[in-house]
Amino acid sequence: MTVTVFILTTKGPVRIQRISEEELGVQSVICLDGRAQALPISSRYDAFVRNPTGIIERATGHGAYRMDVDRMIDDGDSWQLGVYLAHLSENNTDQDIYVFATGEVDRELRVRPVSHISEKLDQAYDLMRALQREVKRVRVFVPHDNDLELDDCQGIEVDQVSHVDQMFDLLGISPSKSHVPKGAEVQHNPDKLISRRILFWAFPLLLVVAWFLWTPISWMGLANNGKLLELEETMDEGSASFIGGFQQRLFFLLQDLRAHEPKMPELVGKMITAANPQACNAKSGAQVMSWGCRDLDHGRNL
Amino acid sequence: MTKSPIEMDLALHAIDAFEQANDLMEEGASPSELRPSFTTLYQYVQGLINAPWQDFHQVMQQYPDAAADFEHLIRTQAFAHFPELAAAAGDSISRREQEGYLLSLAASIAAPDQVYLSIETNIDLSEEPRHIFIKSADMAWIEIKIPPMTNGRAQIVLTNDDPAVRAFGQPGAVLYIR
Amino acid sequence: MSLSLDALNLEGAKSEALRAAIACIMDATAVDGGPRYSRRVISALTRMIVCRSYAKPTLELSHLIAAISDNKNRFEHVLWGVDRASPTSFRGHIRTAKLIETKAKISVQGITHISGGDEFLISFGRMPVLAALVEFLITIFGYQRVDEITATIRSGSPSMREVSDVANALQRELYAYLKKNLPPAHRQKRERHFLQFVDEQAGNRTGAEAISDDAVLAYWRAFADDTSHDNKTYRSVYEMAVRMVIALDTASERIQGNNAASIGTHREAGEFDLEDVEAVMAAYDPDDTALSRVVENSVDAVKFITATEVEFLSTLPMRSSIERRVPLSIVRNAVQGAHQLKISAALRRDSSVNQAVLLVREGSYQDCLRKYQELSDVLERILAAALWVLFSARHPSAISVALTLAPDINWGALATTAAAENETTVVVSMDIRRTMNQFFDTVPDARGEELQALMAECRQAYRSINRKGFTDPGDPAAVSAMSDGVDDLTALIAAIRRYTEREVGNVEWDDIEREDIPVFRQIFNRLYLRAAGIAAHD
Repeated sequence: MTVTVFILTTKGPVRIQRISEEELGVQSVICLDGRAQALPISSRYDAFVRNPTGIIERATGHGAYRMDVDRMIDDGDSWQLGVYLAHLSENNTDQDIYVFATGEVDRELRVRPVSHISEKLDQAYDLMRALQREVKRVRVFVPHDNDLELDDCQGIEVDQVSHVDQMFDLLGISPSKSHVPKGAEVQHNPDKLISRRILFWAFPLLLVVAWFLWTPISWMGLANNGKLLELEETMDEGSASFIGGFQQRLFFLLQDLRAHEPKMPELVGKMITAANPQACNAKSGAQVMSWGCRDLDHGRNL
Repeated sequence: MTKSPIEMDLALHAIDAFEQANDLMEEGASPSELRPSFTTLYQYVQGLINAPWQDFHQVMQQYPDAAADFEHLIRTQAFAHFPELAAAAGDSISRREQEGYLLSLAASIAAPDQVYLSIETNIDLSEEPRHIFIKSADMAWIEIKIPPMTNGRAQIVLTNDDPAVRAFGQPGAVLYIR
Repeated sequence: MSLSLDALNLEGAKSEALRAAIACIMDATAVDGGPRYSRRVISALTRMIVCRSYAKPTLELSHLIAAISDNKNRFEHVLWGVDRASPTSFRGHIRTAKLIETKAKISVQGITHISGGDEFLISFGRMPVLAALVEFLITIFGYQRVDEITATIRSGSPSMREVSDVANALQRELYAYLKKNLPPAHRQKRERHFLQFVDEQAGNRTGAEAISDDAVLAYWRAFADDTSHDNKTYRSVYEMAVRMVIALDTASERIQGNNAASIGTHREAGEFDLEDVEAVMAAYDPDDTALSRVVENSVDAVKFITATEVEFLSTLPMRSSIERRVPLSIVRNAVQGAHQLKISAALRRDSSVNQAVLLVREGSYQDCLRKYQELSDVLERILAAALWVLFSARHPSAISVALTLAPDINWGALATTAAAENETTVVVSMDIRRTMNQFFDTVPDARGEELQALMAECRQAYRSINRKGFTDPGDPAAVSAMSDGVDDLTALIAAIRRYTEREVGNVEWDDIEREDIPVFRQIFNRLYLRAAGIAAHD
C-alpha cells in the first residue's frame, strides 16, 4: 500500500513519481518524468536533503537522492512539505492514500506558511474529486495560517498543520524506517535525538576519566590510612609513565585541597601574683607563668 | 565643350568607386546564411545573448572560420581551460580538474541511462560561469549550459548517449568554462 | 566573348568573399536586435576598402588598441563593451573602463595614447569606424591572426614606433587581401552618357555648372524610354544629376587644392590620389548628411525625428550646391518623382489605369514647399524642447543652443562686470562662470525679459512634445543624447530653411507647375499608357 504525494502548485498538482538513492557524491536532483532534465529547484532540493542545511538526510541517514516528478515546478519552497512526506512514508500504510500538500518545513520540522494556497487548491480540486469518486482516500495538508479562509473547499477536507508530526498523526502512519541506519531509532523529537547522541559519545569518555582518576583516589586512601610506605612504592611505580605524572600531580592537588586550614592559635595564660615580692627571686620550683597553645601545628608544642 | 577633363575623370572615377562600394554593400545572402559575426560570437561568449543558433555544432562545422575565431575567443576569455589529457587509448575520462574547477561525471543509480556532470569550484566568483564548451577529439563543438551555482557547485543531468558525455570522456577533447 | 564571361565570373568570385565579409559586419547586431554599426559607418568602411585609403585608419586603430589594452593584454572589452558602436556609447563606456593611466588619458574629445612623451588622440567620433574596421580585419584575417599582429602593442607600454610598425603590418595584410579579393570598378555608362548630353547642351558652362534644371528635365524627356540606361523614372535621373553635381564640385575643389599645393610635382594623366577619390565619394555619402546624422542620433535615448518626417525630408539634398544648381528639380523629384512611383504601383495592382492617375493634384508644388517649412517649424520646436532639457540639467551645451535659437537676444545683459575703460559698448566683459550661472538661474517667464521669455517658450515646447526622451527632463541618457544631437538638428533646420527661404523663396511655383504638368503628363502617357496599349487623351 502506498502514499502518493501531490505537490500543490499554482499551475496544478505535481505528482511525485519516485524517489531513489544516488551515490553520496552526487547532488540531490529533481528530474522531470524520468528524463535527463533537472528542474530549476534542484539545488534547493539538495539543500533540503543534505546536512547541515537539510532535514531529509538527518531523518533517513542518506544524503543524495533523485526524485522524479510528472510536471515542472519552477520556483519557491512550498514543495517541501510534500517532499518530506514522500521521503518518510514509503510503503508505510495499510491502504492507498493520496496526499496533496503545500508548505515549507524548517529544521525543527515546523510547517511554515506559503502564498497562493487558495489558487493552488483551485487548480487541484478536479483531480481530488476524481479520486474521491473512485473511492480513494484523499488528504490535503496546508500550513496553519490564521488568515487563511478555507470555507469553500468544494467538499474536500483540508487540514492545517503546524508540524510534520501532525501530518503523520492525521494520516495514521509513522515515518518510514526503510532508510534508518542500523542501531539508531527514528526520533521525531530533535531534542531527544541530540541527547541520545550525546550519551552515545559520553559513555566511553566517562570510562576513560574514571580509569584515570582511580589511581590518585587509591593513593588518597593509602594516605588516609597512614600507609605511607606502600603509597610511596605505588607512586614510584607510576611516576615513570606520562599518565602517571599527571596522576601524581592530581593526587597532590587533591591532598592540598583536603588539608585543614590552620586555625588561629588560642592562647591561655594565668597570672600569678606573689604576695611577697622577694619570693620571685628564689630559684626554686616556683611556679612561673605558663603559656599553653592548643591545636598545635602538626602536634608540635610552641 | 567640357574644359576640365581631369575634374570629370576624377568625378567619374569616384562615381565608379561609389557604385563598386554600393555593390559590395548590396544585401545578397539572407542573415541566416551568413557566417556568425565576431560581434555575435563575443556576445554569446560573454553571456550577453542566448544561443542564437539552433545547432551550435552544425554552425561551427558550416563556418570553420567562425569556429576558429570562436575557439581563439573562448581561449582568451575562458575562466578555465582543460587541455587534452595524455590518457591511454580506450580510457574514458570521468574527471577533469584545472584552474580551480573540478568537473566530474557520475553514473545515476536511479536512471542507468543517465549521468550527472558536476561542476565545482573553490574560487570566489565575481562572474558566474555559464557554459562548458567542449571541442571533441573529432573537432565537434558542444556546448553545455551551466545552471546557477550554489556554494560553488552546479550539476547537470545528461543521457549516456549525449554527445557531451561522449566528448567529455575523450582524452583528446578540450574543454573550456566560460 | 567567353574570355569576358570568364573575367566576369572571376570578378564575381573575387567580390563574393569581400561582399560576404562586409555583409557580416552589416549583420552585426546589438543585443536589442538593432544594427551595431550605422549605415554611415558601413559606408565609411566600404569607402576605405574600395579606395584603399586605410593608412590613417589603421594607424588610428593601432593607437587605440595600444591605449585601451588592459593588464591582461585584451582590448575587446572596450570595443565590444558597447552595444551600439556610436560616439555617445563609446564616450559613456570608456569613462567607466579602467584604462592604464600611464598610457592613456580620457578627455572630452576622446582617448589620447601616450608614449615616451608623444601623444596621439583618437576621437570618440572615429571610434565607430575603427570598431567596424577591426571587426572587418578579424573577419577576413581571423581573430588569432589579428591577435598575432597586434601582440606587441597590447602588452606593456608600446612605443610610437611599435604602434606604427603594427599599423604597417595591418596595411600590408590588407593590401594583399584586397589585391586578391577586390575586383576592379566598372565604368558607369549611364553617368558618362548623361555628362555627354549635358556637355553638348552646356555652351560655355563646364563641369557641375553645366547641370541645370533644364538639363535634367531634357535628359529625362529624351531618354526615359531608353532601356539601355535606367532612366525611366524622373527620380533616378534626378539622383544621378545630384550625384554628378556633388562629384564634379568636389573633384574641382580637390584638383584646385592639389594644384596649389603640389606645384612642381609631376602627376601622370589619369592617376588619382586615393584620398581625392575617397573625398569625392565621401562628399556624396547619402548616409552622411545632417538628416542622416539626426536619424542616427534618434536611435538611442531621444527621438528627434519620426520615420514619416524622415521620408519626406529625404527628398531634400541638404547641400547648397544642389539647391543652387537644380532648385526646381528638387521639388519636381519630391512631387512628380513620388507620383511616378504611385503610378507604377497602381499599374502593378490594376493594369487598366486611367488618365486621372497620371496627373498630380494642382497646387502640389506649393504644398511641398509648405510641408518643408512646417517640418522645419516642428524641428525648431523640438530644438527648443531639447534646450529646456539641457537647461534643466545645467548642461553647458544649452548656451550654444540658446544662442542659435535666439541670436538677437541681448546677451550682454548676462555681463556682470562693469565695462573697463578700453571697452566699448559693443564689446563687454563676461565672467564665464558667473555668466553661466546667471544663465541657468534664469526663471522662465513668458512676460519677463527676453531670456526669461525664451526659456518659458522652451518649457512650453517641451510640455507639448510626446516623443522618447522628452518625458523625463532628468534622464541622464536623454541629456547626453541631446547634447550630442542638437548640433546636427540645428544643421538640419538650417538646411531646410536655406532651401525654402533663400534658394526658392522667390520662385513662382504655380507658374512652374503649370508648365510642368503637360510635360510630365506627356511622358507618363508615353511610358505607361501607350506601353499598356491604353488610349491616351490629352
